[in-house]
Amino acid sequence: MTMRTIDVRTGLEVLSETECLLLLGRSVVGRLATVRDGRPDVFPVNFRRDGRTIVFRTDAGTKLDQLGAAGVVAFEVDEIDPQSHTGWSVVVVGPAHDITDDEEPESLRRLRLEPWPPGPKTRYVRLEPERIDGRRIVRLTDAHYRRDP
Amino acid sequence: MTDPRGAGAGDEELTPTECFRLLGTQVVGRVAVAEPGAAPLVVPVNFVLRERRIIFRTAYGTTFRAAVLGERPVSFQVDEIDLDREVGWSVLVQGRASEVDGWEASGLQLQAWAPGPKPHVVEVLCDQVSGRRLHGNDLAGWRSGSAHL
Repeated sequence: MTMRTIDVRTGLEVLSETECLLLLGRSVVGRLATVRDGRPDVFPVNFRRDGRTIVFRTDAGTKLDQLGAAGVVAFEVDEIDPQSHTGWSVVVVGPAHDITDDEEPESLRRLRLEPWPPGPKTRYVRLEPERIDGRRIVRLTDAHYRRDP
Repeated sequence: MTDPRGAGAGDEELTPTECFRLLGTQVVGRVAVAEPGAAPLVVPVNFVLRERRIIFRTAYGTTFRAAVLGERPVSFQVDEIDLDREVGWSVLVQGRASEVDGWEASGLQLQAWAPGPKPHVVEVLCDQVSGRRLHGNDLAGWRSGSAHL
């Protein structure tokens, strides 16, 4: 019997980091959130989970400048079913770095983020998590849960 | 290529009218709030759209409450990405959020999908909307294990 931890404020189940990593590993589309001119900017990107990190690609001279200025970014992945009103969301927060010149092309290729070879401007970015948080919508009728203190 | 998202040549900017038409086809989006010195907060919510106002229920976390009461910038992102057909779009509304009074009389169906109490009804008022269509070139290879090998 798995004990569930419920966030009292939101009524959502709190997911463990292991569960979050499993969910990230089976997803390929996430939303990168940065701040530009004081306003949140959010857009979908194709990604792979690589161990505990997130890798996505972008084009040079563009989004990367924004990443550097922002320091840390948020990366959100979710799957929510409009029919059953159930689903989950995982948010990874941390610094993002351009890794294109620092890592072996072979290890980047293994991530299969796009048809190979990449375009001339393609850059790869790795997000190193400082925090991984996940929540799931569960029914309160579920018999076994405990309140998060 | 000067596009901040570094997207591919298949991209197509959407008009504000088209952005709001597409927003109205969806029921789940992501609210994002800038936090000074930290990564933005990103939370998925189910919402309704009324005349370019995005309305949803919330239990107010600390950050979001501060953003609403302090009239800080809030963004709302919605997308739809079909990896089988390699088509998709993403829309970003940037503006401010405020509490909605008297919503009970409005006839809005505002039940939150998450189970906890959500005593506050909030609307995001649009200052600026932007959106783009994603086409085959952008989305090719997004799916895990597609024909890269």
